[in-house]
Amino acid sequence: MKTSMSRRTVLRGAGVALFLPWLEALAPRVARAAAGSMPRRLLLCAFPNGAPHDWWSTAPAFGTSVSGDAFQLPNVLTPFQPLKHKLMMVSRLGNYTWSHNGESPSPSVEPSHARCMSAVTTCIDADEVARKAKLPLDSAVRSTTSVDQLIAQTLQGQTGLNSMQTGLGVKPGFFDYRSYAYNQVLSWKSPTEPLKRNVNPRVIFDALVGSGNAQTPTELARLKAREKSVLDAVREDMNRIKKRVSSRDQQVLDQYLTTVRSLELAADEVSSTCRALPAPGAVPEPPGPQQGLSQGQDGYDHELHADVMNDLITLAFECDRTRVVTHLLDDARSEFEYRNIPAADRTRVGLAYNAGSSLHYHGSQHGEGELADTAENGRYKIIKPSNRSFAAINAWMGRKVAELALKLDAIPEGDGTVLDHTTLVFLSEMRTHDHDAFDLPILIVGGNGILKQNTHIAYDSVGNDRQLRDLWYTLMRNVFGMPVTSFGEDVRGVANAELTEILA
Amino acid sequence: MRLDSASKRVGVCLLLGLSACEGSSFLSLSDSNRGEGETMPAHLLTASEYNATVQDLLGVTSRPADYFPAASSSEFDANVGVLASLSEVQSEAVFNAARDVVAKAFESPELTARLVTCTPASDTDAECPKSLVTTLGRRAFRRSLDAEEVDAYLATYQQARQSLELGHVDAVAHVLRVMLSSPSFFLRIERPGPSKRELESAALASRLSYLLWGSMPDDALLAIAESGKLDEDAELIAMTDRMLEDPRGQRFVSQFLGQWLGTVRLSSHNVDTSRFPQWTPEVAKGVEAQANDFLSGFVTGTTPWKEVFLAPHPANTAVQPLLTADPATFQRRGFLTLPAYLALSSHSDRTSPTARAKGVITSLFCTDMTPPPGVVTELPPEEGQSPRTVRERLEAHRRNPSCAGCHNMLDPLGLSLENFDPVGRYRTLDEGHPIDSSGVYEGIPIANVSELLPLLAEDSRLGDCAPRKLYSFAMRRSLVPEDEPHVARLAATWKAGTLRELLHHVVVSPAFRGHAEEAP
Repeated sequence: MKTSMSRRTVLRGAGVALFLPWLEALAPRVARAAAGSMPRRLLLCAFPNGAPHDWWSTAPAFGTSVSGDAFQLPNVLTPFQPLKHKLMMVSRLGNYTWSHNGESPSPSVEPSHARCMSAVTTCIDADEVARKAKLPLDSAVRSTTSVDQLIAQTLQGQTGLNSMQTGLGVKPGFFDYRSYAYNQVLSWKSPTEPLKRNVNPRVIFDALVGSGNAQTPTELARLKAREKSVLDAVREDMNRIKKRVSSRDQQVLDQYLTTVRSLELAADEVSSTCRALPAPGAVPEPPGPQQGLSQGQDGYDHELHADVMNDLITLAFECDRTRVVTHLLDDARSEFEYRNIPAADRTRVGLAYNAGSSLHYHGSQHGEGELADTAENGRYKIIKPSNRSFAAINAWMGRKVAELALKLDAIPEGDGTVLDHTTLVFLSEMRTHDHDAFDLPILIVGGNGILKQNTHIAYDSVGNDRQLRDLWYTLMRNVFGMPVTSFGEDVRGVANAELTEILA
Repeated sequence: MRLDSASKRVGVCLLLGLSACEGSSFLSLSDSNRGEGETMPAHLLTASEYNATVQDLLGVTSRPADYFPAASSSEFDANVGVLASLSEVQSEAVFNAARDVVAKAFESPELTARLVTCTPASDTDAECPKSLVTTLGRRAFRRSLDAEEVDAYLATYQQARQSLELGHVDAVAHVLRVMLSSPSFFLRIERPGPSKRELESAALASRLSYLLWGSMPDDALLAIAESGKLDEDAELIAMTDRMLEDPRGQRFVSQFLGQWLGTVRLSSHNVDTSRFPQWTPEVAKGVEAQANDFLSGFVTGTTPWKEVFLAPHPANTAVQPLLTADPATFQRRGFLTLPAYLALSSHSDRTSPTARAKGVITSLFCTDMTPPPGVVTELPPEEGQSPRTVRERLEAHRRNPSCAGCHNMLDPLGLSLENFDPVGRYRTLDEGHPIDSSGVYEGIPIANVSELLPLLAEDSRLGDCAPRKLYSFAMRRSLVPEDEPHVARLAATWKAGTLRELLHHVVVSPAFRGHAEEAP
């Protein structure tokens, strides 16, 4: 039960990547640009537990928009200021019409953390899928193929890795009457294949560079021959085992076989890594509920962890190792205490420094703050302002995503930047303190020139609001050119319709 | 009058609405395996099992599985349910770990020598490679290799020597890497035995070793199992005792009891040390050690489980700083007044009477407390200028009829523990207000926790619950309705004795042995 040794070296040696020149990476990108096929990437950065009311402090009235100089960023999002001309805030979208509880779908979904997070990229009711499969709700892990995976499917074979799932959740929460997997997953490869976020930079690094440590072509050839021998032997082994096991177990083996085949593909791609990068340190996966790492424990630093992940995501796009990344900034209802937040983020939202205060994320979500679902002057009425701890955590997350966006914007590509050819969606699965699934905080950067920029668009108030499933539907059709005819569920029978207001 | 456990649980369900009963204990998995007279579905070694297995097999202590994508189960890490598929990240993690741990083992001349126990006399000597394939393969797969497997791994060895131009030692490392990349290693796959009715005889060795040691069987255990002798009551019981005496037996305490009662979380439990500076790293270690000692007493010692609320605490000097405020007349005893439980069931800066009570009711009594949909399960934030005591806020909660059902049961228990702060120190004031730890539990008025503990100790749910937990842990799945007669029988024969006795009953049960059982 003591896990320790390895934890002492958490992340040591990481961060070196920051100082490497990006230059040699330019070649493949320029070549792509010349060929006239600008990549279209998806980077979905989700934060759990909703936003403080600060998020909407500059929102236009229901059903209106504001653009250009009149569009101001709220205090929690000021690190995006240098990119304001490339981004759009989209407000008053709901994600609850999939809920099968009650007569008509209500934005109050229980248990909120698991069910809302499971729906953020799928827009369906995971409970209903489990019920139909006759699985117990408290342990089932079922959903449907998520939007990022639908997009990734159309890019199959174009990059070494079809998609990547990263995250920063090092202290999961406890059992909430549903599998905690829902709280840790954004990507669903299929209804039965959740791709859990990976918090370990070392694993991401290994996936990105493959076993590409070979220095010479001869070494590379030997390495490949050895990998091939292992993969061949494992495949034969699996065919032998399959003959001796039940059909139920054969399914599991098939799954492994599929991955082994994709590893084979990756082994063939080792030489395509565009630049050298020192291996980052490791962050252990939390072993179980309420276990894991706290800020400062065994030298763990959450800020550094976030930086290293930002570097790896940047590398993945820069070297065109993948075009689809989902990044979960923390597990839903995590037990993490954000004692790492520096003074600059705290003062930005007016949090008085309180040494030793826990800054427990879920605790502060339940702290002071109440936003009505009734309108006042074209906005939801603030009954009691959000507590500053909750605001500081949101401000910190916003800054980390802004820093990632700025990194991508620093890499030229064609007549723009990598960020321009990325659709970065920064959003939460719920609204705010109330844990409700309407009025979601959403910000979108980039978008290949297809999306509006320097704009804040507000849809109508709850009941007349549009739904997140229409946002994914619009992005798939317009940015990614996919001929989808529907996405997500609306138990009222309402069909998908594009959010034309977000298109340039 | 006391209700028996089944009707009490039904009572809770009715009280909370039917959705409260949608948990696994009430839904039948019609298409799933019962584990009875049949093989268990293939399942991944848990992270701790993988680490321990790699350590016992190769001598590598790098704990590679700490970096695997974690599975999320509601109680025991092994109970993640039927493995419907292996995700890509899981598959990649085990594949890469095989490469890394074998490389690590062969970096050490000492470990290499332990693994590569012979050198071929000549290039045509097939005996040495064959004996290595057979021995290492049997340990890694926890069963003797089939003849065609021996041939295949031998061919892999030869290919490594010839095409890949590797030396003998490197070729053995190559073969081991393939073995550790095989599902026969990182999954527990139970194959049917020759008679079709039972599982392969070696499988019982793994069932026993993963239950008691959280790791692979050793050569001796595997030999007894493959001889068929392990599948006898007397041998199973004797073997269980021998395995619990082994230092690896401590893993049973840390895995089964640690996960069931939550003590595995102690090492990463957050305490606001600006408010509770007494919680130093030394104290925290002492708290964990004391809890493990306390719990070991029920496994390797002679303390019956019915004493869990009343047994004396093992002395531990490191814990002393937390006990200095204990009144002279007050004697700490039982699990609930261990600083470990009191801290674990608290937030970092405040106590949670509801969490403390829920821990007892759901963990030790196995009573389902799932709230119906729409019921807010957390205390509203403090309102107004003057902070109200937790008791006052809970009373407001209890006036709400949808909350009252649970809170009438939870609050007396939780509030009686309010005399202990978030790190388990005795206190008489909370936020400056005197603490009132009195209440009415099941119709009996109590003045404080000392009066409550004997009432809890008499509760029949205590003796009914542990068999459910151990059976579920041993069978690596949540219980289904068909299991109810078995666990009821276990409880009736065991009578809340020691956990070692309960283990004896479980390991000889037909379900654990994979025997088909005649209908009850």
